[in-house]
Amino acid sequence: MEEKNGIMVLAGILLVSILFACTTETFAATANFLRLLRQMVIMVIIATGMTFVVATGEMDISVGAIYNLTVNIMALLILHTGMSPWLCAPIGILAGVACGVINGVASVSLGLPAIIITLGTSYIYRGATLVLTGGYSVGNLGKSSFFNFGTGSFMGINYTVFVAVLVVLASAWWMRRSVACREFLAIGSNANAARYTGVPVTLRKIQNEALMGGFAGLAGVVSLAFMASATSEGGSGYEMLAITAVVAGGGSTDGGRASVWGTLGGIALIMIIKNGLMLMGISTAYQEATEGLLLVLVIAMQKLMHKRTR
Amino acid sequence: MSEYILEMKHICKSFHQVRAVKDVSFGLKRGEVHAICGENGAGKSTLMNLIAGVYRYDDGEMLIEGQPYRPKDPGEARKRGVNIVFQELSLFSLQSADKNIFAGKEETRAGLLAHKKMMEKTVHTLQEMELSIDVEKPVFQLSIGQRQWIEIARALADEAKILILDEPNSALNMYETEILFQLIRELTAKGITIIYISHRMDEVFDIADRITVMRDGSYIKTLRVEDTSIDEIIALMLGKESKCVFTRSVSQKGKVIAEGKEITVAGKVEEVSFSVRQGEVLGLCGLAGSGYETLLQVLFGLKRMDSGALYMEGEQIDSKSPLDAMKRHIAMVPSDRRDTGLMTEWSIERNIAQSLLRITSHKGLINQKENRRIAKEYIEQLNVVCKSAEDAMVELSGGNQQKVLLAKWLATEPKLLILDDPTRGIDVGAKQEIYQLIDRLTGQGFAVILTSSEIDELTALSDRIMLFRNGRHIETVGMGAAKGEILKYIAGDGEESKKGGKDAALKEGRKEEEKKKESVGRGRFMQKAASFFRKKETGVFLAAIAVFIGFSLMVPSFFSGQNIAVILKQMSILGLLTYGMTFVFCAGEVDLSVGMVLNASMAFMALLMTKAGLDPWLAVAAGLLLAAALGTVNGLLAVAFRLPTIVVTLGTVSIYRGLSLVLNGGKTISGLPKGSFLLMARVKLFGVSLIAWISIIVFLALLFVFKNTKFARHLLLLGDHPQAAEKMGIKTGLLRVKVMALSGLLSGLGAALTLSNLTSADTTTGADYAMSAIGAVVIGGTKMGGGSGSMWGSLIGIMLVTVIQNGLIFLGMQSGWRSLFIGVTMIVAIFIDIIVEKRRIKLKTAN
Repeated sequence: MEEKNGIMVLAGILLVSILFACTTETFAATANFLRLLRQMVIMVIIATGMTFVVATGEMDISVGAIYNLTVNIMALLILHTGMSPWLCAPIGILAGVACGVINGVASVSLGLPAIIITLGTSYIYRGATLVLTGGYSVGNLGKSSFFNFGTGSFMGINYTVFVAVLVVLASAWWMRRSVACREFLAIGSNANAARYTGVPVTLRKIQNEALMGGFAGLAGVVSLAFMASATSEGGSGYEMLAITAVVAGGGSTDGGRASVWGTLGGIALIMIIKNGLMLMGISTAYQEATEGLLLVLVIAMQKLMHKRTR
Repeated sequence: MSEYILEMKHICKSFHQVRAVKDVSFGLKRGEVHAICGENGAGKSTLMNLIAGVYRYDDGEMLIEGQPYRPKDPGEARKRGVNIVFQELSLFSLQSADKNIFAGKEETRAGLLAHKKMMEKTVHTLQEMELSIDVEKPVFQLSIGQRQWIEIARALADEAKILILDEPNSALNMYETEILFQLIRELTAKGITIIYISHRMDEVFDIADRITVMRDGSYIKTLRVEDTSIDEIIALMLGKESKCVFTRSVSQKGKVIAEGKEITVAGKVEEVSFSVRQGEVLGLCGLAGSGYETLLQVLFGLKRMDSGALYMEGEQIDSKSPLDAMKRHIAMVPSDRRDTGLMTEWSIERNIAQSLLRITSHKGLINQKENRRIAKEYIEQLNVVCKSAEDAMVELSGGNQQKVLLAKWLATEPKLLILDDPTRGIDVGAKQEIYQLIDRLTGQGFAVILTSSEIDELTALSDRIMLFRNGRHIETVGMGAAKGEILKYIAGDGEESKKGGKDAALKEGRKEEEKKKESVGRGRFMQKAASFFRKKETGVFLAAIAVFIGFSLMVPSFFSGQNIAVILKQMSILGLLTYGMTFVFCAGEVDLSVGMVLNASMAFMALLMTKAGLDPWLAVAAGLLLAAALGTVNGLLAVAFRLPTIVVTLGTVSIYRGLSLVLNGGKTISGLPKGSFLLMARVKLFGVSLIAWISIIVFLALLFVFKNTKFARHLLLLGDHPQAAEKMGIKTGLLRVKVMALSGLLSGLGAALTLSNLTSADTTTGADYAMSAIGAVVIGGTKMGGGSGSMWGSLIGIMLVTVIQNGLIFLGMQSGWRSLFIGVTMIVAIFIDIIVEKRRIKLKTAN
């Protein structure tokens, strides 16, 4: 099952790559490839976090808002207190974790699925961002090795790409080996049976959301390092891309199944499509519609395939 | 005409070559109570399902009043006068009695719900049953017994000729059972025939006229109650030979492993003490609900006891969770493989490893090698038939799945092994293997606590069997005890239930009923007033007024005719989406796409008016069609792929945003033709904009639809209990599509009003509308998850939301505060809702 999914995603990547290479002149260029890699970084980190959430049988639609909130918190801290960006980075990640804990606690204590709770909290985090920034972009953050790190590269590859690679490697290892992740999957597969084998379901659900928040915060750090500025509108739609990627990569919306490597494939596919559409000069309107269509298609396909294997 | 109302001749039914009912022939006399007795698996329930039309019989013939009868579904059976009350309740818990009784077969007059007629019929039916049930309360607030009445009333409302009661009193207390019996006697006096199934022998002899005994799917004998005895019936039920041929080898008993002293769980178990030693099998036996199941839960940390003490190897323990119990070397093999036992989509190895995770892990990392080794060892030991340890559970037979479940728990090397019905639903060969395993385990010094749905199994395997009735441990019998004796104890033989106690319980119950009646009579007006103030709508309404006054005091210009007009217009448009969302919520769905449907259809209308030069009103009609179509797409996707609409619309909201960007090209479309359409927003009637009037008319129309149509009624039923709705013959898929289409259509209407008001179609309108509407609906008291809704609540909710949003702008707060406010109010509203609900339930149980 998992292998079949992997092959399909790879085939998809190959297909659209060939398609774009034929229809545009710029797609198959090294410069575009390197740019694509860099563009992928933030989404890879967020989607990897979403993998754990989907494994537990939940969906978090506040990640885009959390991500942007952390970027703005860090930017404002740097701007107003003159703190070293390196010191602000852990604060940003912690802010993300805090948002995640709020999501988790609210979801567990109100007994509602995370998707509903995070629908509400996404507005809270987005609102908080606007309130903090007054709706303006935050820039002029001065010079720092932090920003040099964000824009610097090794053999043409942006440093942040290596951060993403590390995150994926660590997550994939952790997903396979840790008791915590196995218990996430157990909850997603059959929460009752998980409880019967001694899984502390409530605690794990909160930890899971906190982890997602942490990943969003980390994505925020990476974004700030590269952009050296923050906007109040950033991060919108990221949650959808992340969920699409996880499901495309073999994650089940019913929980109990998700793979970090699959998600990586999924996000690569999506970003290549976005990149290609942009190069083809297709308007943002169609790009937007494509993203929504992808989500619906991918989830529908997963449902159909799953029904057949049953 | 024959003396029988229903006659069965040589009825046969097989499931996959298993003959569940074999050549059964007997008849029911008009107006009799006919009890059917037999062990579990004797074919009683299958036969009842054949009569009620749930299954179709393979062979034979049934006659109702001499006419051939072969129902293809429960609906046809109902039409022929056959009704069944199912074992598990299938009521709509948030709905009142009348809505439940008429679910799926609502009475209508001129296409509208005939409320009065249905209520009268309900009251009449309940009065006839001599029950005082508050017909306006949602049934979840009633006692389990009262709910059972409503289920029976639902069957009776069809003017039944034959009523099948399949263990109707397992949830009833003594007083309620007595009422049930009175009711049964009255029904039979009217000529209604009752088929009555129960495991409680004394009651069967109390109520039945004749008893038919079944065994192994076959008809054995029908006897008149006067001519037989409990002993004879039990002997007939059991037959001669025992079904469980197994002899356990006698094992050495060691020290006491687990001991419980006077364990009490309020309402479930009363002062039960037990002990089990190494190498011993302690059997627990009782009817469902007799308390032994609760005892198991206490042992495994799934339930806390109210008093008593539990010891493992002499040391007192306090298990707060299964994890605590596991640490004390207690393992429990649950009875339901699918629900609480296994991850059916996982591999064998993973399932076994699941209980080992924390035992073999080191620093939070799974010890995969060790887990694999242990898993393989147990797969071999228990002789699980599989290709490899990587096989998914779903590919295994029931027996092999059960072995994996056992392996999973044996692998934890427990000292106390709880086996909750370990042979449920597996074939004979696998059963034998599990018997042998239990034998081997006790030889190795395990202490085992065993339950089983088959008494034979318990008597063959247990050293001692503790018998339970009504939460008490009443007797202990030894290995090989006679089954008849056990049945007498757990089912009661008439002498056991002391007459004195019964009368006292009856009196107590009557008193309570009378008290209730009194309180109903007292102070009707006060009650009405109190309930008005307790209503959520009232609270929200007062809050809206308070907020309005607050803003007026803080900002002088807030309370001006101009601003009130702005609020009113904004509220009118957002209101349309909110009313649609209310319908959507009732069905248990969520529509995140309304704002973008509005934006897209608005752009479409504007485009048709300007570029295509279409008559504005025609353009509006086309726009409305588009909006309804977009809503329909939401519904179709959700139904086709069995997805919740919240997930579907999360995707379609993007698609529709894309669509609107394609239509307007990212620019505001202006230059609409002057005329009646643009004038619409500027005309005032009695000082109020026409837009507001239109919205009010739509609200009233929808309110009417909400209260008076089958459509809305069915939405509530769907949201409340989808499976039950399906059972009642409601077409749930179509209904979901319809409600999403309605939501789309109302968004389209909102688009038309917005366009007329703004005179141009911009690109940002609608971005926040979905959340504003959802917030307003939740604030108005409509539940997330379906089954209830309040149109007035939503109206007041959107009033509050609009006033606050407008006021925040006046206070100079920017849009951030508005988002923040929407999110917080949504969460807080849900929170308050849950607290209020909890308090209500508390009040209910306190009474």
